[in-house]
Amino acid sequence: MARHLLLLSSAALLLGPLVWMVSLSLKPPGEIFRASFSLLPEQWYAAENYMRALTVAPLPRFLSNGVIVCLTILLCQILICAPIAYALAKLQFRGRDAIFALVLVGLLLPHQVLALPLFVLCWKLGILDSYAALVLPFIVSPFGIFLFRQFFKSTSDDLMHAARLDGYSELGIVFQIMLPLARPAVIAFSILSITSHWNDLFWPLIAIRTEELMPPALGVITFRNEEAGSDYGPLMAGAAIILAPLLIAFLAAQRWFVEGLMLGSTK
Amino acid sequence: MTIVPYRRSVGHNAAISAIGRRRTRDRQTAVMLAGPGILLLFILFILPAIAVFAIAATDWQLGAKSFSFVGLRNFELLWQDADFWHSMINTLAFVSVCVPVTVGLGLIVALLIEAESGFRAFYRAVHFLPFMATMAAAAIAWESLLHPTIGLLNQILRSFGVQDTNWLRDENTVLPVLGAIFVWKNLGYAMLLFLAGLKTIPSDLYDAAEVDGADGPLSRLATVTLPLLGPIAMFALVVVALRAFEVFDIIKVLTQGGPGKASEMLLYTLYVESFEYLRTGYGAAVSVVFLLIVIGLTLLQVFVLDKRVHYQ
Amino acid sequence: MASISLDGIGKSFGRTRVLKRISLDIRDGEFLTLVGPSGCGKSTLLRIIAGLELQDEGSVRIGDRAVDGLPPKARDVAMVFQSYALYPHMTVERNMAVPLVMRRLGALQRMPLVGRLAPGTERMRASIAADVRKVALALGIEPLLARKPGQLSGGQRQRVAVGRAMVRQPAVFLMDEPLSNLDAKLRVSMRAEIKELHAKLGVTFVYVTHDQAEAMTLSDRVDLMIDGELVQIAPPQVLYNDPDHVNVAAFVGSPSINLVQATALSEWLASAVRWAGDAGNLDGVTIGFRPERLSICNEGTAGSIAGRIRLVEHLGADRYVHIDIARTERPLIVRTHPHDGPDLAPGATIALQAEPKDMLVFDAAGRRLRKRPCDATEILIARSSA
Ligand SMILES: Nc1ncnc2c1ncn2[C@@H]1O[C@H](COP(=O)(O)OP(=O)(O)OP(=O)(O)O)[C@@H](O)[C@H]1O
Ligand SMILES: [Mg+2]
Repeated sequence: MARHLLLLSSAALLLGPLVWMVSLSLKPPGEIFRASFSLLPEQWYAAENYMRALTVAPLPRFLSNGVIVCLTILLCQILICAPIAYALAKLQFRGRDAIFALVLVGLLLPHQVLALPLFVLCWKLGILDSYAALVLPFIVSPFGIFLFRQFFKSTSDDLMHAARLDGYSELGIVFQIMLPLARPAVIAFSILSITSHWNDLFWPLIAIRTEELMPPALGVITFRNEEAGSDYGPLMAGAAIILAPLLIAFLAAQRWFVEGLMLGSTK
Repeated sequence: MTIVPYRRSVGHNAAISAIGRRRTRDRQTAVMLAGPGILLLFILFILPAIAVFAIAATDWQLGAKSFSFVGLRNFELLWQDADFWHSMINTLAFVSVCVPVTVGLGLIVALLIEAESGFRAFYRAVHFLPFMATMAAAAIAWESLLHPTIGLLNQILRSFGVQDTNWLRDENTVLPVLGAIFVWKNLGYAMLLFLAGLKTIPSDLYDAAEVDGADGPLSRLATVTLPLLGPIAMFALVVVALRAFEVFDIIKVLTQGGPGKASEMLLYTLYVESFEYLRTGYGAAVSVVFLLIVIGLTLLQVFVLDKRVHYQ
Repeated sequence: MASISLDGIGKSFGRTRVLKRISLDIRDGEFLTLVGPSGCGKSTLLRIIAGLELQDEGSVRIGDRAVDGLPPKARDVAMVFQSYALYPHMTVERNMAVPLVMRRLGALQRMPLVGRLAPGTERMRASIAADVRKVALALGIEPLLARKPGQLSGGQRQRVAVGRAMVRQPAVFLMDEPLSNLDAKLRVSMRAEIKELHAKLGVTFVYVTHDQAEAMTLSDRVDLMIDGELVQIAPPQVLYNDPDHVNVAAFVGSPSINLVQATALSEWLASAVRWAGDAGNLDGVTIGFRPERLSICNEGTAGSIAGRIRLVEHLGADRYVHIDIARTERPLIVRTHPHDGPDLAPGATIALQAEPKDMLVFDAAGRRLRKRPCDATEILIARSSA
């Protein structure tokens, strides 16, 4: 009993801010500024707030930017990391250990530290303020290489040999044998990659100025700055719209999310 | 005199050169597979990392055509810069309070969840939910909660007769409030680490403890659970500390480092110096300091703690 | 169609020389078995034949081609692995179709969706499916075609692995301990099936095994490898009756041959066999007796070795009697029929007899001594017939 009491109250504290946000997003301005508080509005104003949020700022655009950028990053990461991970796991060649050491060094570097040179790089390439700038710095992931290498290493050599005898090319082995076998790792990695880039604010803040190109995290604070102070209802509605996709995805696929994020902690 | 190598037949020579050709082809395959990854790793990770050190040794200002090498001048400036020290001390204070609190609460929640079997999945999901929230958007929710007039917090306090506080604009409250938000977000993460750790404790250890007389829930906790969670706790401390050093979003959204510089922290300083004041060389020096801290913590995790985490 | 010829194959991993200049000719259609202790290089040799590993020296010919420069898929060999190496994410049907798809369809035709539109793909796929079905029927795995390997028993997986090797009708079958993951009963029946398969296909088989029963029953010739060297290549019967090396003798036969230091038998050798009087000659010499070549007689029989029964094992058709004799550590095992000889009870003292011609004598290095220090055979024969 005590257990439920404690856990329910901590859960209430944790959900409080989100519940409060939703509550405000349902209320008309008059009720928001009233001194007494209640969870549910007296006068339902949800439709107005959410419509307002969607028309004032390109929220759907932010979300679709997020989807485009995250999926492009993920696709590039898999296309680039899987072959090198396979080479590191299964092929013998000179310099292999040195390259793996390089991957480990990459794993050690926090991305914020690299922001400055990467900004200069994107500037020189003339891709600042474009999708390319959002994607380019992340198309290779040392963690992805590391993770896939671990997985590929654990597959039996026999399987690779059988594939060679059957006529697969090395690239075919990577993408048609190894990757499907490493499916749990691929899913976990995908979730880790998507959540971290969906939520990332630091790099988009540096790389993007144009509102139409902003991913969700950056978009929502631009929206906030434009709406500042006055219109709490639509602002909360906007924040809720930005928060919803990941939270819903998490609740729908908890097990995968937990696995993916736990994997990330060993980074 | 020349030594003629022993060859059995022409067939052997042919075989050796044929094998040589296959080795070459295998090498080419390896290069083709690993090449793009290596190249990009260089361009996007290794060279930028080196560049940060190089830029830190210049007085370059972003956009400027020329710059000169100043050696360790930027680091000297950093050393003498009261603002930097302020930011550093804020960060260390933030880390040293928030991290133990987050990990401690995470442990308690995990223990409570595992204590009985009812509603485990539900509690786990609810406590983990904040970790999944896009922090920029969640910060907006927090802002409304902390709002001096319409905020829920002040409304509640008011009903107890407490004076209104402008939580985010008061230099005495701003850091604790940011700390609370950090705990709010990361508690579920620590909890999950402990839940994973609790699963690895073999149940026969509890049976053994019971035979030895430790049969109450508290004595079981003291004799079996906590000692075995020790390594996980160390691991969680480091991982959460890494996240605490990297706090940025909430500062950017909620306080901009203010009021004054009361809530400025390392990564925010790095951002402001590099990308707002465009003092690139100086910003790079901050990056180097930040990098060293993160690498120190990561290496601690890999070399000191990993062994302990994995032995069980 | 395809004989295999290995000429001076050498291979090292780092410092360790795994194969030491192996030369071997395998006839077209022959069933050759490689046996030997773990780590002696059998799998490595097989992989070199398949082209999965590159030798450091020497050359491989399959049929009339030198294949050293060819990648595995171009060598016209198929391989069955100990772990079966089935693709776990594909159905049995796709597993078996892979070698054909990779060979008969072009890169474009293999592509998902787009491939369907390419000319001739449909027809090609249909003919592949038909071929797969035919092989599956022959192996009795047709009902399993829609399953994934994870849903199959060990024996079924083994069949699928054989099926995948069969569909492309290779000139050479390489099998690396294909039965060692099966339980004993299944192993015996699969052994028979592999023998039939070889008879039916008539192609060359190179078969690696640990199991000497497989080696003895399946092979035209057995090749015993030790430490990267070929010790003896011969038909199974020759290997059993006339081994060149003590290791061959020890490897072949179950229960295994009784190996006794000659010094422990010096008196018996001197009196009964009339070994050359000099005991120094016996140093390091080992004498082997096959269990069925020893016979039990009453204590005190002339020309016999005294012993005491330690243990009697009844195996139905056979009876294994473990007998301790003086100055040896391990008992000798004698194989008798259950009703032969005197009553045998543990603890009883009896005696052993052996025909000198059945003694296999090996020198200190383990090499067979066909000509013994003193040819005692005739003497003994004279005695026993007297
Ligand atoms: N890729 C490799 N790298 C290094 N050493 C290897 C490699 N493959 C095999 N070896 C070594 O070569 C030796 C022979 O290996 P191989 O697999 O051919 O033995 P085997 O006769 O098949 O043994 P088993 O009966 O146990 O399968 C072993 O000592 C093994 O450790
Ligand atoms: Mg082997």
